[in-house]
Amino acid sequence: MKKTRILALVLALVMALGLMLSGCGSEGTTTTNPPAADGDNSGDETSFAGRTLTVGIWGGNDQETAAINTLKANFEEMYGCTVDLKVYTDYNTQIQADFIGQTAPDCFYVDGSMFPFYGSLGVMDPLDPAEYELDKFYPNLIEAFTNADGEVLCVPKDVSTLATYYNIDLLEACGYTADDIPDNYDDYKAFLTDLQAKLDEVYGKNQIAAMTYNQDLSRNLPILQDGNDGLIAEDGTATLTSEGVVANMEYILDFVNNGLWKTPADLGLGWNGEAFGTGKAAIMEEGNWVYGTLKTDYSDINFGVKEMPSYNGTQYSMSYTVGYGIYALSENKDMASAWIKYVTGVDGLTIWCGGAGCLPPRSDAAEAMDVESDPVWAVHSAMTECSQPWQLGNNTSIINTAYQNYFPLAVSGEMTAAEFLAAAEQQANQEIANAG
Amino acid sequence: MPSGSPQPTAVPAVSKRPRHTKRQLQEWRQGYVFLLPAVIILGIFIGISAIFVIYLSFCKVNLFTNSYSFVRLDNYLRLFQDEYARTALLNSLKFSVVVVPCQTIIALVIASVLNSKIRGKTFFRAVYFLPTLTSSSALTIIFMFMFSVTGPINTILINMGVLPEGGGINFLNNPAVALQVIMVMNIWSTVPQYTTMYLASLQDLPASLYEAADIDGAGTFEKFKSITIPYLKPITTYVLLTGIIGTLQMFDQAYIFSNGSGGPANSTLTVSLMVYRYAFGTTNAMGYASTIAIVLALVIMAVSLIAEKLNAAEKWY
Repeated sequence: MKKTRILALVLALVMALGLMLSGCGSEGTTTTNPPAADGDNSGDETSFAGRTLTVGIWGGNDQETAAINTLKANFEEMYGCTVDLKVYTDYNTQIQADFIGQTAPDCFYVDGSMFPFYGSLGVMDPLDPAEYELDKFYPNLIEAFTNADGEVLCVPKDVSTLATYYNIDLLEACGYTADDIPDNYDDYKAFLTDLQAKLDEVYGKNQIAAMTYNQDLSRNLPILQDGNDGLIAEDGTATLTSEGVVANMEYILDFVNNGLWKTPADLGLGWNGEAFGTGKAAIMEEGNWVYGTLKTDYSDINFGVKEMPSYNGTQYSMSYTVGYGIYALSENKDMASAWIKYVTGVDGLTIWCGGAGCLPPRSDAAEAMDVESDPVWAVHSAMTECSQPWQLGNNTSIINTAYQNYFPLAVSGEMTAAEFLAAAEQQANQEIANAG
Repeated sequence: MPSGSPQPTAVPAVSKRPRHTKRQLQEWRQGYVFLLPAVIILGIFIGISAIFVIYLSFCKVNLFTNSYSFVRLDNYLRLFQDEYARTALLNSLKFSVVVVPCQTIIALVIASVLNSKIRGKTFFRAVYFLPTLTSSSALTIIFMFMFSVTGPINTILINMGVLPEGGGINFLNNPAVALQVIMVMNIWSTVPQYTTMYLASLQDLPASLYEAADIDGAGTFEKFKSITIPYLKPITTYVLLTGIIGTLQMFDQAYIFSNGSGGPANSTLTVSLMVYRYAFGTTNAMGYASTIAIVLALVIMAVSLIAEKLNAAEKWY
């Protein structure tokens, strides 16, 4: 009995040793590989062989997935390496957990509106402007990814802008053409009043809205900030209660209270694109992402696109941009850098922007893609110049949440514009203070 | 295995009369070895985490730079001055006060109906259990569709003439009714679970009690009041406690409903949602979030204790 036990013990020991040794062996071989690759790194394009680059992204529609997979395949072929796309479902929560756990991907998406926050955490390496040809990009996009010290931390990978979409059939049924749509908000009031009256007459009351809007700072910002010091102070707190902002808010509420602007939710629908696509709204202001939706999901809608109207003599649009940053603790910074150079270069941008349906962030890529040949793309591209990148300091989402929180009360009449903005400002600033 | 098998050498040891036999000691050792994995996992993910949260609640935390500065009671003092925390707590309590009695009473009634000798009760049991099987996020989205301005609820109300043509209520955007919609949704989805618990207990209820009541001339309501309810008291305690804990911790439905904002006008801001926003937004305030979580835990404990005392059940479990 004792003998069998000893035998079993010895056998078990041998097996355990064997496992350990084989484990060490395989680890040993993998650890010797990268330095060798690093050695002949200089200039050789195939030097990333055997290594893996992790890229943190959020999921998109089928076209976006196809485009990023093409980029991945091309990059893998060029450098003989593996690209691991880490797709997050709740991006801003999960990537923060990865930053805290120091397990973030080598490079990752950064939304323009979130940049001031991530940029202040020290999780990204500063980028050399010359190395990434940053002078070829639209300056307002580069500015959106520049931190307080003047360092650029992300390279923009695409941009989307707002433009005015109109339903040609609905306009014509009411006796209008696209040329009747005014080019400034002041004239919109009279125009929308007439249009809404005629829509009610032709299609029945409350059936079709003249125009939709959103209770969202990312859409209302251009009007609200016109002619004043903006919505945030130097320290990032909200300043929504200045006289200029209140007056601009009253201007917006005037449209809403007269029934000229309706939210998609007022129409029982999810977003502008759905309201417009189902023919429930005659005019909307939307980003270029809606173009693909209208073509594929709502192909029976006969629509046109024109530039955004001006407010108090200035033309505004909003732009939404996303960039790539390199993780400060990455062990594959050389690969991350090569990836960013590829996907934000003209070739990479043509694949990505063409596939995903967004504008390239640099004019040479826009020329290469010939965006001007498509009338819709041409309008969105023209809006890049006058657009404001969606960004509101470190506390963008706090301020916007507080703003959205109280907006319905201003619409229902429970609060005046001034009371609404004061309540939103108080909540936002209290949250910022609690965080600080 | 060889080390676990009884050993012949252990037998003579008994003659020395130690306090515990070798075999007993070995069994204990074995027991602890089997317990160890669970203890380690629970210890790390629940025990240490809970203690760490208490520590965090006294700190100003920046997880990104891994800096923890001890601020004593600052977070707690701030919490008591935070009017939004008050709003959140009031919302959670309001939610609990309406939802818990409703779900308990409805579950009790449905269970006793399903336990009676009606036709097709297995079918109804299956159907009634469906809402619990549905994921709460899917449920929320379906309810948001149902309660939208042009959704089925408004259409029915308009067709019945309760609301004027085109005058549908914007349930989702109206601070006065937004929380009520979530209440209805929560009651609807939790009742089946509790019904099942009541049913399981009712299966054990001896029929002789009802027969004796029949002979004494008790009516259906009398029997329900004097036999069913007292018999189910221990289960009711359990249902009340889990109900209170579940409703005070309500998060997912409010999060999806308001898109994480707790709006409109903070009407759907619950305490858990507030914890989430401070912990994972751009606020980066894990310390303050921990403080709110600790206070919520204390509130739940207090409310649960009161509910248990009020129900005063015999402790059968």
